[in-house]
Amino acid sequence: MNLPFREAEPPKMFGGYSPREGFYDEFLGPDGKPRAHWNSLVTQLDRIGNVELRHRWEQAQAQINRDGFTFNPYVADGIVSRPWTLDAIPLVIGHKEWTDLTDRLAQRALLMEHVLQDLFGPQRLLREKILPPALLFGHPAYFPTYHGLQRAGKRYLMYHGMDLARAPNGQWWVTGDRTRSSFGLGYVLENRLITSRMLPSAFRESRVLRLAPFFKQFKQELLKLAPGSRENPRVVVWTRGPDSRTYFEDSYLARYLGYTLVEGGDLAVRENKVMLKTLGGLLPVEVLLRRLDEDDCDPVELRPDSLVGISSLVEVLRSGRVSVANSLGSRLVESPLLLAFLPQVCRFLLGEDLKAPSVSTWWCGQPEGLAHVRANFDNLMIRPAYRIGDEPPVHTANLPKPERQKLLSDILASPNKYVGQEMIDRSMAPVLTTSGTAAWHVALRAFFVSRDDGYTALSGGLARLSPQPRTLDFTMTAGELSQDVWIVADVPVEEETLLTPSSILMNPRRSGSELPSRVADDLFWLGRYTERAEQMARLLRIVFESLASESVNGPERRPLLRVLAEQGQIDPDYVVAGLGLSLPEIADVLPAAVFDTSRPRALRSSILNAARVAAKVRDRISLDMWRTIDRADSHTSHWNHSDNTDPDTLDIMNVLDAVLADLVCFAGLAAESMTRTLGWRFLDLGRRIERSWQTTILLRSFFVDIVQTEPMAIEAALRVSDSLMTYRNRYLSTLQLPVSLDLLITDETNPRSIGHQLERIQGHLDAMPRDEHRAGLNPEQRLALSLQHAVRLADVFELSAVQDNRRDQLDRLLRRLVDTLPKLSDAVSSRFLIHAGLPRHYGSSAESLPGNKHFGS
Amino acid sequence: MEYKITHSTTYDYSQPVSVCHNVVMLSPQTFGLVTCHSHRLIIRPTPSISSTRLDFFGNVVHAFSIEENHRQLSITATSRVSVSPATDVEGVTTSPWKVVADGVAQQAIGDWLDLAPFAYDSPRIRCGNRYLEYAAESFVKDRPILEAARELNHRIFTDFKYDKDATDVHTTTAEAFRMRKGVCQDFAHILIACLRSLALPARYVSGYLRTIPPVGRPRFIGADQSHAWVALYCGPELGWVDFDPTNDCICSADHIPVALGRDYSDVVPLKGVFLGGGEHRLSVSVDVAPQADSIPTDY
Repeated sequence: MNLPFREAEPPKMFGGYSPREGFYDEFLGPDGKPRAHWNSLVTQLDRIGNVELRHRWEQAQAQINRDGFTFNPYVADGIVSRPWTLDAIPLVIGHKEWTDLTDRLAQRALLMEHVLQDLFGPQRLLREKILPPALLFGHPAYFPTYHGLQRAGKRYLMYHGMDLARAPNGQWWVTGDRTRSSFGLGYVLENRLITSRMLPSAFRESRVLRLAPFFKQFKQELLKLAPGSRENPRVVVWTRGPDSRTYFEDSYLARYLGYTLVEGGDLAVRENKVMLKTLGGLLPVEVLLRRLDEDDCDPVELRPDSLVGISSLVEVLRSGRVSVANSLGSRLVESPLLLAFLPQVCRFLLGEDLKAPSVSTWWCGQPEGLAHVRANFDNLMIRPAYRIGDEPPVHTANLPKPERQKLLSDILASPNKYVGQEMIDRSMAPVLTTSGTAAWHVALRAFFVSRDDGYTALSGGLARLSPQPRTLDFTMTAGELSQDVWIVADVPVEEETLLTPSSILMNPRRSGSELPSRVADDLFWLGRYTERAEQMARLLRIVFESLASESVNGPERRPLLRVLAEQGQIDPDYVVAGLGLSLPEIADVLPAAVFDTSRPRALRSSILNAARVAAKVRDRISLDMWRTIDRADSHTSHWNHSDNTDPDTLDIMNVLDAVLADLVCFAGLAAESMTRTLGWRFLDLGRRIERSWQTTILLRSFFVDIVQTEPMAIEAALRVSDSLMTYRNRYLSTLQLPVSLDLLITDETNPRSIGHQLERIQGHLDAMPRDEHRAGLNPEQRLALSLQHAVRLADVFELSAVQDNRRDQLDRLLRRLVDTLPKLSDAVSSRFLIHAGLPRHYGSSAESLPGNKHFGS
Repeated sequence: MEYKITHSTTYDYSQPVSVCHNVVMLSPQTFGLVTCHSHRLIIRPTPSISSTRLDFFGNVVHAFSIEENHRQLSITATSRVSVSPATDVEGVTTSPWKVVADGVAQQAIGDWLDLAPFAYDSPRIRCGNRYLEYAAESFVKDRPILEAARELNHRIFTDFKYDKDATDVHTTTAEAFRMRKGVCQDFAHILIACLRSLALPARYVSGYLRTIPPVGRPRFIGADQSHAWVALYCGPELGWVDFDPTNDCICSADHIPVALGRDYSDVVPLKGVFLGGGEHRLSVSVDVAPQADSIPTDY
């Protein structure tokens, strides 16, 4: 949501703030004055004033957009942004109140840990009838294989998120627990970074407790989980991938914690260990910070249809050679049905009363619970008893009659699957509005991390706000605004950050972190797609120019169209003279070659492909490189939207010019601002292979069987391959074929020639990691070398010679390139990039289990 | 009755497989009426990693990985087992089915916690009204559980067509129920869905069935197959009773159980993933040879 600021300047920031009757107000006390812990912020905000605050807020939004740009999943022609707008005002909570609250909540976190240990261990809670067996065995995501995975002394819950709501009497209630991989920590970090920059003096003066100690402990606890005693265990952040809605957080967290971000495909089990697949080989991983659901973690023992898991991970866990945080099975305690039993469970397991109550919950699986839910149907919200995804609750009060009836009959049919829950009239806090401030309802998520004797709270949290009291109940992403949460101390606080202090000197390093094979693969394809797009843009520009030129049918037109036809961009009939008459005007079908994404070689298709793979390697390329791709994308997206009329030739030429500038800029950045790591080599390798291929196709279309070499055709070929200037410098204005072929094929000093590409390819292949014990050349080196020799040995005069109306020598050389280049690309892929491929399941049982008819019984 | 069971599975690949991770459940063990005298599992090529454990339900599970290129994978399980005849249920009076269901739900029956895992939905089985309605015809008020279950078992045998081509291993229970067709796996899932919809604990049993050749014909070696049926908890008097809806019978010494679980997904005989392989061809041979009989095995 955008908050437009209009001219409005009340003298005091909070002058117009009016609390709503019947709700607890976080900001104002019962006396109508700000609560003491807000004083410092109020003073500072009054000093800043509305106009300046608005200005800073706008700058902050720009920063958020940049972050989103860097981390958010890339969606073609759509915008995925933060679930909420960050508000300028933080939510302030006093230190003492926070400590009291989180001490009580920490007991709850420990309780959940004990519940998991019992459910997957001795099951005393079930045996003694404290909990119904349905909690475990009725859970749709329960896998018997979760039993026996946990090693003694290790926690199920390394971290834990709790959702809180404050009732009108000032009491905080827990509305839910998030124990699989709590959403929000990344946003907490980003909110803090932005808000503290927006309000630096207020942040300082308010003595806000720091987030860093929590994350420091977070890292320590992850290390503690590592099996064995290796000096420096490898910890990775395991994300579901760029399509996941938590990808922003996953990558933000990985970067903040300093761990490699990996996907399931980057990991494999070998010799009963989890390994990270890098170009240099397999590296063991000891701890996985899991950011995906446990069901998806292993296609062998858990959900077979998972494409993001690690085959045989569960078997490795069982042997104790890797740790996953949080442990598999942790989600079982997220079930709302557990809330109905928690006080008894706490007394039974911990021998004390539950200090932090959960919102009143009735499980319909119990007769008395069902009776209560039916009797109070309109005053409760109905939730599934088990939390699977992010199912929103149903507020029965405003349900149309038929749906109400259906819900009721669903509950009666399977009462085990539903709970009724009380609704909390959530407290309110100030948010910035056009005219000052207003009171909105608050939902707060608190986070806990394990320590030896219990759990420690994050001094902060994620606040979501909405003007509607019920909206916040729906899901974690519901609500219009988010706020940084300031826990303010009475005494000054110590500075702390996870970044290496600048007073400690770091040793210079030459290589970046390990390069996972998947990343190398993405960079390779990024190189290919950007080059492909650049070539297509240049070709199309020249085709359009030719169409717009004075000569109605220049000699360059036919070979140019043939290049397009070769790529499937236009109907081949356009090339055959005469046949083209019955087809639509060529000018009418060409826009499709630019914009039609159903054509794999259309300019926009290549740009979208480039953007897709670039999105996956955003942490490996510079922000500027990413921006040029994004710009190329937006330049070509224009006519995909229906609001516009068809583009005319001039429009399209403008688009092509703009795109070409973007792509050339990308190539320049790749050459000038990437360190010469293996990653860069793969990017360049992709580009070189693609360029060789494109030039080969061009030459074949232009010169093999069109024996009249008109100067205009030669000029067009030189322009498409961006070598006309060089030609003019060397040979002035006389255009001849042999020297042109030299420039485009054999001259290794021309960065556009095939010979130059092969030389670069050879150089990259020589620099790749290789098996030291193997003598001789690898297959890909052989292929590249044979091509290089063929090109070097070629004589441009022989290549230009015509026999029986075609250039046989030229044809033979180009044919060889056409045959070998794809093999080279495949050889590179199979050697370095595709460590794995998609795992496949044994179709076994389909055939082996047809069943049995008992003959003769 | 004593048997020698040989279960061979062979995968032939057109391209080499570089890695495979597998889980195998082909090992009977001494449990209830079954005595396992000997068991051997031979895997070729020899796995680089393997382990054996008991799963949550007490089944023997082998996990293994092969990390060298191979074009063929063969798994041969050979077991010698004897199965004692089940208690004759004829004439046994059982409790009304509702009493059993309530006893489980109210945690009043002695071993309710052991029954609990088999009383709820499981990955392949979702209870629902359609099963309840179908089962209700047999499960009328106060009817003894054994009698009701026998009738339901018989009705599934009668109403559902045994059809190898109608379903495959991925067919859902709901789909098979709608089509009224399927193989032993579907028949078993449907019976379990009906019983659990009545809140009765029911489990899935995988194993083998002795086949008796037509009179005067020799027994074909290797022509047998894996089989599946259902065990229902029939109250403290009888405990678990095995029903075979594919053959309309209560199981006895002709049925040789190997593993039990909530549904097929808990007891898949061979599952796993592999990388590479191109096209693959699977051949399975199962041989259930009764040892007490003098049927020649070397024809």
